[in-house]
Amino acid sequence: MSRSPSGATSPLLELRGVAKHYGAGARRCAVLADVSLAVAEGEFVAVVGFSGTGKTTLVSLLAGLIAPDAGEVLLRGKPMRGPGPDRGVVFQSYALLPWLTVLENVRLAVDAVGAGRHPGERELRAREIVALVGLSHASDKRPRELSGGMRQRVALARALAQDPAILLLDEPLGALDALTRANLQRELASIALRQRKTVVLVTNDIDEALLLSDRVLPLEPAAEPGAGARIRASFPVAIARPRDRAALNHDIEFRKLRNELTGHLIALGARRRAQRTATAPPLPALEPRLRHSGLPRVLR
Amino acid sequence: MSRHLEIARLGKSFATPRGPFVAVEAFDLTLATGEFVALIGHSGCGKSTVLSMVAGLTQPSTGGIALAGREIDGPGPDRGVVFQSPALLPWLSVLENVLLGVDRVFAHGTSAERRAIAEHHLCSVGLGDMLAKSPREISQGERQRVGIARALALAPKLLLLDEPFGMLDSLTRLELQDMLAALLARTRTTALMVTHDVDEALFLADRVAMMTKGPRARIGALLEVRIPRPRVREAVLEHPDYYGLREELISFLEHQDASAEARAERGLAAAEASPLAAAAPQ
Repeated sequence: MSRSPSGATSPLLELRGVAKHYGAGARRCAVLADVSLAVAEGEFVAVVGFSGTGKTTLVSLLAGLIAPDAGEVLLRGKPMRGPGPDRGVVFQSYALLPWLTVLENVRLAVDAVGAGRHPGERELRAREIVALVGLSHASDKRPRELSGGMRQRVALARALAQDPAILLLDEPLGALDALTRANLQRELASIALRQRKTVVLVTNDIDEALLLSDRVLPLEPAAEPGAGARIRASFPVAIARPRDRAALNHDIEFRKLRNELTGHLIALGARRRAQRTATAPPLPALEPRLRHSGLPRVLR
Repeated sequence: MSRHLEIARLGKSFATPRGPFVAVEAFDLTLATGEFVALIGHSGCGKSTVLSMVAGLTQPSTGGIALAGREIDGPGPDRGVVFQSPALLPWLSVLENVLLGVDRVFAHGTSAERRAIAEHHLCSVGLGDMLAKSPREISQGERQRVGIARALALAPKLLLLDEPFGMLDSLTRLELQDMLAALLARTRTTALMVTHDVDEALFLADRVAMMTKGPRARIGALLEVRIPRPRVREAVLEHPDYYGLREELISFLEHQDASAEARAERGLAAAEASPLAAAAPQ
């Protein structure tokens, strides 16, 4: 079962020749240069990039939190004017309100979009969403009583509570351990599939991108320092859903893609580092002289 | 095969109010000169306990360890250690952090020679243009590069790596693995690395030692990685053995998971201390 993007003529979300820099004068630093990207309705797109290459800037642009210096950000073919409830954003830091319980944190988002509805109905809706991310048993807990994985679930629930057409995920699982990460990936895949969300996931994890997305776009760091990142290549992931992590290991298409994508990203990284290699002075012909270290006895 | 590092019948137990807790028992492993062995297992299985005994930071309860024919009885500069966090001194520059050890181990050289040694290794980890930077000004991946340069600059007989890339994002991790593979190919340093990343173990190691879940952890199985060197990422991933080996490691770990759960139900699994973290010089 493969989710195909609907045949709509204009993409749901689009970046056209977008550029963004920070700072001015000598401190001017281009982050993105000429990024174009079109996401169709119902599509799950993963943007994979090295840390510090502008992934968060990209998400902020798509969310309407910042405006580009050049180019256009289009939502349903029209220029985007700031953030809106049709786009739910989840960042790596959960940003939950510490004095509210799990349910209240989610309720806040429900209230924000469903102001007209009956309070009882809103309460029900918030409980539904909390259940969806598997946190019913912890709905009365406060953020500090939760593990990192649970907090990330609350952040996801809060984004889902707005029932946004588009989910923008900025390394939402980056801070989690491998096991929790795998569980939440499964959750995310099933939510995206069941609720037919359009998703843009930004990550540095190739396996995560291949497990979840319909298409992987590498964010290419600039070849020369100070220039911005670009998106050029696109790797379609033609693997049937639902995808099972263990089964993928045997999937020929998965292995091929995984190898291609890894090679591609390594080459991009190598190019970036090749810019700044100083020549090493020759190693003097000196043998290390071993004395037992002067560490205090207590450490031995 | 030359026996460069020999670990024989190694065991470690800790005293607890409920009697001794045996973390590691009957651990045997021999490394040939220039060999790279990865030690893989679940967190808390005792991998770091073994590494810390080889580093000389903790005393074995039973058995012994010999490096190049001499028994290990404490820490020493013949073993370079790279931890998950490089613990650089924030008030020293990148170069000064590396010089700290170089100045002691090469005290018989001139200061120009010592500087050349430190610079040489910082260049070979790709930091030649960052010598004067403070650790605060560089990225986490770059800090770990300093940690590796600092260890290799002492020309150790053995490099010990305790999940060196565990805190890095997955792309930076790939970059550092490539760098480490190239470095070790050139210096022919013997290395023992603790990791729980299956792909990392397969890319770097000649053999992968799979540890059973503690208590009484030991080597459950040894996997030989017959992928030719020098290894290039794409070639390794496309090697016909690769996904078979990967499968073997993953299923070993999953099996350990299941048997540990069964043990936990019998009430045997106890919380394990990580003595390495406690004993690591900060």
